[in-house]
Amino acid sequence: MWKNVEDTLSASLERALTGLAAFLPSLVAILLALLLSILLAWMIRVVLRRMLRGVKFDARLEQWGFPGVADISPGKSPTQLVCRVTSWVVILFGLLLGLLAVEDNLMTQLFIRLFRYLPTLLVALAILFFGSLIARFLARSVLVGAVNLQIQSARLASQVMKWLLLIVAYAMALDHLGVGGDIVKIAFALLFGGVVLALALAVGLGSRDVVRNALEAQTKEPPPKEEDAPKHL
Amino acid sequence: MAEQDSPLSHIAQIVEQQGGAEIVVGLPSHNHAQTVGAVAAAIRQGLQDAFPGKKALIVNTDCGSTDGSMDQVAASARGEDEGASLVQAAVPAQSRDLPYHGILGKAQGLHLVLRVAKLAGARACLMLSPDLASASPDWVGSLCRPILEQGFDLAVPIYARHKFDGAITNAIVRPLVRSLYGRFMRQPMGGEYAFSAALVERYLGGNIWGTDLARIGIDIWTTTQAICGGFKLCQVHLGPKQQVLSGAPPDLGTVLTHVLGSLFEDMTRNAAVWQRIRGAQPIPVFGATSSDVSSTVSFDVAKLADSFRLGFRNLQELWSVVLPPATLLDLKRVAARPAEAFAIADDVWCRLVFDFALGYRMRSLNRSHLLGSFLPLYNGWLASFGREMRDASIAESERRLEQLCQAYEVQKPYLISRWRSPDRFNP
Repeated sequence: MWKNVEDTLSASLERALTGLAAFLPSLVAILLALLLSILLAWMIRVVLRRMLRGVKFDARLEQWGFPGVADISPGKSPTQLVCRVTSWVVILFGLLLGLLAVEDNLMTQLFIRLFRYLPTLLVALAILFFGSLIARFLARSVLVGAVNLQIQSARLASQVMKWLLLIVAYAMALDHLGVGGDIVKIAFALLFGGVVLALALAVGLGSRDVVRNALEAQTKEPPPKEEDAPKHL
Repeated sequence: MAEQDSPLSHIAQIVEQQGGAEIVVGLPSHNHAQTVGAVAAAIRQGLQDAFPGKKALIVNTDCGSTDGSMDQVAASARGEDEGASLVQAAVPAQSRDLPYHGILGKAQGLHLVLRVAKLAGARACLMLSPDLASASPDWVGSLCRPILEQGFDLAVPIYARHKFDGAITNAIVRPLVRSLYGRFMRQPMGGEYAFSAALVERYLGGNIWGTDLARIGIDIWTTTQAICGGFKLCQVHLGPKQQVLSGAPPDLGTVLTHVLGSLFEDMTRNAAVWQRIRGAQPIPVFGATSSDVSSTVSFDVAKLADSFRLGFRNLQELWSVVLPPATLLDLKRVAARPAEAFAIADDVWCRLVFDFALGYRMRSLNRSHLLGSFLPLYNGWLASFGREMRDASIAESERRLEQLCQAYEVQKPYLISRWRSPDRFNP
């Protein structure tokens, strides 16, 4: 009996060692691919950082009207953001190449699906990026304008503007990705409709006099300038 | 280019027929039918009174008037056998956004006037605004004589004003121009000015024509160009200035945005010049001061202080991008004061203006947000000045403004340090 046990154990050990020996090249390939991709990512990062700093990318981005990018960047530097994103993409691709060496068929399928999905993902990310920039810009415009008009709830108006635009951007991005199906659309419609209804009720019931006065002020001829108002220039 | 040259070629024929002109007077217009005829008549009378026998040319440049402004100017010349010739030309508008001085097409008009002056070989050029209700024939002689007879290159007006009038000029433009460029000028953006043939060349060689700086900041540019070029400047007392606005004036926020934007843009362009200038020198003043000023100007200090507090509560997020923490702390202390003790110290105010100028240059924020967020600060200064000077005479308020100008000069090293090493001071 001990002979049978010994045979079984040795057979299983042999199988395990054979399996390990068969997998070892793949493992080495994965590690090598990862190592090379990290090295490549580091090199690309260094070169890219020098290039972007050389052309004063951070300052130019602000000049092109995207000062908000700095706020969402590590170290308030869009150059850092671009470098990090690029290097992580390179590392991810290295890892995927390594995995391709392990399971050819499965990883090929995965690659095909990933590449088909990639443009959709990129467009969704672009929607979110530009949506957040526009939301930030318009929120600040509303804030400055409302403060200059002496509106006490200027910050509230600015935040409402910001979140409405962000909600629209997120809903568009999720819809584009096909995440959540109709739930996103229905939830967005309910939320947006609810906000508009709430505002309509607030204006209709709570602020009738304010709205009437504001409309009257808009439709009437502007009052003559007071003689004693100072001239600012 | 052909469109721009066509009025010039038409005017060139007139200039040739006339045999040149010693004085060229520019009169821009844009829906100023109510006043422009009277201004044109005052110019003709002024030329006859002050410079009889001298050849003169009045150039009316109109920017899309629909109220018959050009007809009013033409009517002022009818029945005159002698005196200045009149030429009229239409100039295209760069934008329908009304600049702070309220005269659309003023820069294009000035550009045409400069080219005409060069063509005519004029020794003096005069620009007057079309919206003046107080334009006197005497102004022509008062502004042109220093150019023609005393060798000055630029004569700018000093208008008699109430102590609370011209607060943007008093709080920002006048002390900033004085500290940056080292010249005492009471009203650097007066709107009316006379200049020499040498300055005509300098202005024509400027690289601002067609830019936003020309559209909204032509008045400050003409002044700083003369200073930067080392030209001889003088000021002339002209008495009170009354204007009749054509249509709705730009709101205060827009006016402040345009003035600050043009000042800071001009400052950025001239950085190499003003960083070398230390101290300030007075420039000659001609004419007698006038005490004929409106005595009914008043405003609500408490309301202005509330506007500052509202801005402080809501705009700190934006201000903190351009203002150092110490300045924000100073503003917090100001906001905590009651209306009867409301005051912004001169050094704090100077640094605020300098920090915003640097923020404009560095594009730390979107420029429309940056300049728009200055209005509550300006209201705060006005509340502070109004409270302090409530019972003061004009002479006392002038002395107070002199102190403010000196504070700007004292703080100028702070501006230069930040300008040269903006990152070192980054909040």
